[in-house]
Amino acid sequence: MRRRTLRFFFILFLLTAFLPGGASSQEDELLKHPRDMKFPPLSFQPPKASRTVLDNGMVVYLLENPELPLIRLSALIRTGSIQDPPNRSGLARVTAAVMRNGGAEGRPFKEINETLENLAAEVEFSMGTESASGYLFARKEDFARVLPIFADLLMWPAFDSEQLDLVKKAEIEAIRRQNDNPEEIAYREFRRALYRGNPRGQIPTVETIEKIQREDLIVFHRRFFHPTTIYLGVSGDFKKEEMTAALERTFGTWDRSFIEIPSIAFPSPQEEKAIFYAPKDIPSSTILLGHVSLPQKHPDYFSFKILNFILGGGGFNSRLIQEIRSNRGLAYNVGSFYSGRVGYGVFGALCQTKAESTHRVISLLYEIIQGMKKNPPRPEEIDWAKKTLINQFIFSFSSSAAVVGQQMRLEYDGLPEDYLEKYQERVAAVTAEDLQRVAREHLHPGKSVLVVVGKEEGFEKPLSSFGAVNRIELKSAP
Amino acid sequence: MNFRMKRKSFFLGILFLLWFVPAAAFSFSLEGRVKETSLENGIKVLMLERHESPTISFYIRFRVGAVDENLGMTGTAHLLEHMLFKGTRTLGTKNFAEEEKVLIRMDSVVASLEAERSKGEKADKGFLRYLEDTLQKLQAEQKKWIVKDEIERIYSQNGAVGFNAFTGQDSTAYVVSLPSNRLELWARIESDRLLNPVLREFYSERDVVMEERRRSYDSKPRRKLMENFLAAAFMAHPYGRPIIGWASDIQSLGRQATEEFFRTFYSPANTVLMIVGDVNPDEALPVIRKYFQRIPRRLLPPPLKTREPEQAGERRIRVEADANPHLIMGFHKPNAPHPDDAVCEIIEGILSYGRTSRLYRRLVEEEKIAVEADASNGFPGERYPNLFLLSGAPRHPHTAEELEKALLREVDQLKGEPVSDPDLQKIKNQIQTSFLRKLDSNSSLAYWLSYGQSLFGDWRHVTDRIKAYEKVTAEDVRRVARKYFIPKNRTVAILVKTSESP
Repeated sequence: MRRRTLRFFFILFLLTAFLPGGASSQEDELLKHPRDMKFPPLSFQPPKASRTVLDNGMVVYLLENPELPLIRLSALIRTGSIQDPPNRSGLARVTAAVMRNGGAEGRPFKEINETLENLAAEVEFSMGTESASGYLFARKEDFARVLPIFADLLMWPAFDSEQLDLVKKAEIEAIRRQNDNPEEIAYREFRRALYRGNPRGQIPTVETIEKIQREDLIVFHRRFFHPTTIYLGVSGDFKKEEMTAALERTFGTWDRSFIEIPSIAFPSPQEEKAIFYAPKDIPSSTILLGHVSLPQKHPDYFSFKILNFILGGGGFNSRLIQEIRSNRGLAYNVGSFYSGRVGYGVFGALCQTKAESTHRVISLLYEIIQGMKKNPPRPEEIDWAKKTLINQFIFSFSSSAAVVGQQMRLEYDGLPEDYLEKYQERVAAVTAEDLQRVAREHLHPGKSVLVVVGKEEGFEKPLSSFGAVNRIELKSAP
Repeated sequence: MNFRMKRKSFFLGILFLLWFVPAAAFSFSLEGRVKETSLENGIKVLMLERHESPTISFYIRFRVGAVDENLGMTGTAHLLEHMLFKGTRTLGTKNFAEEEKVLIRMDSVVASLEAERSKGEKADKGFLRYLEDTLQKLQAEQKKWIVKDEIERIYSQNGAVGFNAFTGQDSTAYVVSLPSNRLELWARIESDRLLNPVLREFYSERDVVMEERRRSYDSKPRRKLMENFLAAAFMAHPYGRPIIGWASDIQSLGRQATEEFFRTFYSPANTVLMIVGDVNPDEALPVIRKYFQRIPRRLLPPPLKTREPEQAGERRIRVEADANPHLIMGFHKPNAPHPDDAVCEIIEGILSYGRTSRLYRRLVEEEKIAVEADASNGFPGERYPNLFLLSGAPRHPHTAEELEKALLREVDQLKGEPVSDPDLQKIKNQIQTSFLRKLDSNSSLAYWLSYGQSLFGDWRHVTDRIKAYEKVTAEDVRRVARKYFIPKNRTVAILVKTSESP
């Protein structure tokens, strides 16, 4: 039955194909290889947010976009969990959570939650490693009611004791559960090993969380939250002048203060190979391998970015994915990452594979990374990587909130103002010689941290064949 | 680095709420902006202009998913999705005529290999080794003709982002975003993928999927719990099977059967092309016609007749893993457009939207017995009757059993005292606003419009259905809670730490 139908429609297809002006030429045209296709030029003037400074020194970026009756505001605050006191690891995170959950002076948290949720508005604070962030979302007509809530929580949080207790309990439960998921274990132990002796490598424990008192939050907030440490970005349906006036009104009561944010030492590079193994009874091993790398301001930043793209950051055509996934079917999840930050960067490769191929995959990771030095990127790889980065760049401007966020982040990180304008040019300027040199100078598979989570009894060969292994006992919660 | 991720249908319920169109609340409307066309072969084309930036998001959604697989073939829809990245007769090969000869020989070697392996202990070891060697030689020979991952290379060089695909129970989507001057590139590649797919490198990709299974299900306690929970909740209906497939099925899926699945279900009548962004429909349509009209019409197989029988009593399972306790509970209920589905959607909101929701306020904030507690309507799919879920993680020393009692208490409360009008209104406000929020991204628009079109035959269905949410009353909530949230209709799955199981 089906076969007959198929034949019938096959005939139909031929007929339609033959109709206009000869099928063969049209068919050729249709099967033209995409590499021979030509596209009309694209012209685009990326939108730019305007920068103003409030009277008390707060930096504000504004970008009008009336498409939808919505307003989004985001804040970047110069702090982060790197500022945790050594015996209070987790304090920064707890502070951000209780800022939001504990209400503000004169605004009990229950009232805040009711108001926001009735308006379907959102106000959130969160703590990152090197910055804190705030977020506000509201409909245009509700913005005037929501902004004061956001501002009061930011400036005058009440740090309600009950909510502090709740947040601490949630943190402690999260620590109890921190060994449930192999990826979480791998990233945590990678971080601990990579940043040993640096605040970035500190991991909160039940003890450090239990020690945190309300007074600690008040002091932390007082130290880091000031008009001059905060960048605001607003996008959506508003008029710039009105928005500036509203922000002046709302934050005007917050006095300018001159404070020093303590500078935290950057992590130092590994001096030798370090191997860590965390036993867990699971069929798939998680492998992380990497080292401290170049900061974003380094002259070789763009070269290293392209190098990483070719190695394992650029999808299916990058070497790691091609070899380990596509050619050998040894993994679903494999690749490399590079993040250039202020003062330092981090480079690493990740792979998850069955216990029985763990040893083989680790060898392949070492080999392929090492291979970047021995077989430097070929012209077609360089061409592919550069074209991709240059042509994808346009997507950085696909939402107003993203445009504002980018500009804020550039200033926060102290990058040059023309960073975005020069981005494509800088990618294009990278040469084969640059890549070869950067691979030689800045890739260090032999001085990497290696973390493996899995069941070693199932591996083809013991991990010790790669060097001395530090065993991490994953203590299960009582 | 999560390529080809599985669609998280868990969020389906929540995201559905986005389509509330409060007609009077704002002037923005999709009606009149979505340009609809049907090609002669039955492919549905939807276009929506948004000129925020010179980019376009493309979605091709097929109304076929794991639910359409036969027993013994679980995982086919997902493996096929992976295979469609491997190229065509012109993409991914230096010389298809030569490559095809190797492909055909490989299939017969694999067939013999699998027949021999299935003998288990009695298999002829020498013969097996011979076949394995032959297969390896053929794979090496094929490699001479293959241009590796060429589609991805072409797309990325042209600035594509988000090139990916998702397989769900109900549908499968192929997505990419491109600079807007590359529309024809998309049409060329995607129409070719549908007309001339070549499932090359099938056996290594099958291994990749096995790795995906080990990593995403077998090594993640909560996913394992969910897989077991669904298998317990559905006795007859394929919604009880995992999208990725059972391990033993995946390992024996064949190239020809997978191709057959493609021919059966990837028919124009099952296809929606969704284009959102910097597109001019008048210029785009001729290009789309030129490429996609070539795809021949095909008859679809008859729809699935299996219906889940009424549950005859509570089902309860335990799953052991090296992890802390977690709980999932589910109740069978009808799917949209049944009006009770809309009521369940509102119940989801009452129980779990935000810090003022009942589950957060009572279980997390006041009693502190849980660190998470959630409700979710419409799992694991929407084409057939589905489940309303309650789930959560207890806070030590509280147990999953205590959490279960507390969740049931909240459910029982819905049966008694009616929800207040302000509480009901709050949920409806949240629905309206989340709708607005999702309108400002090309890809989320493409996702949801194609979803409505593919599953319910009209992109407007999603907005129509939201009108049903608006009509839900406090009395509806009581009635529906009484009807479905009963012991006989429930399945409970608890994650237990291995060492603690008796």
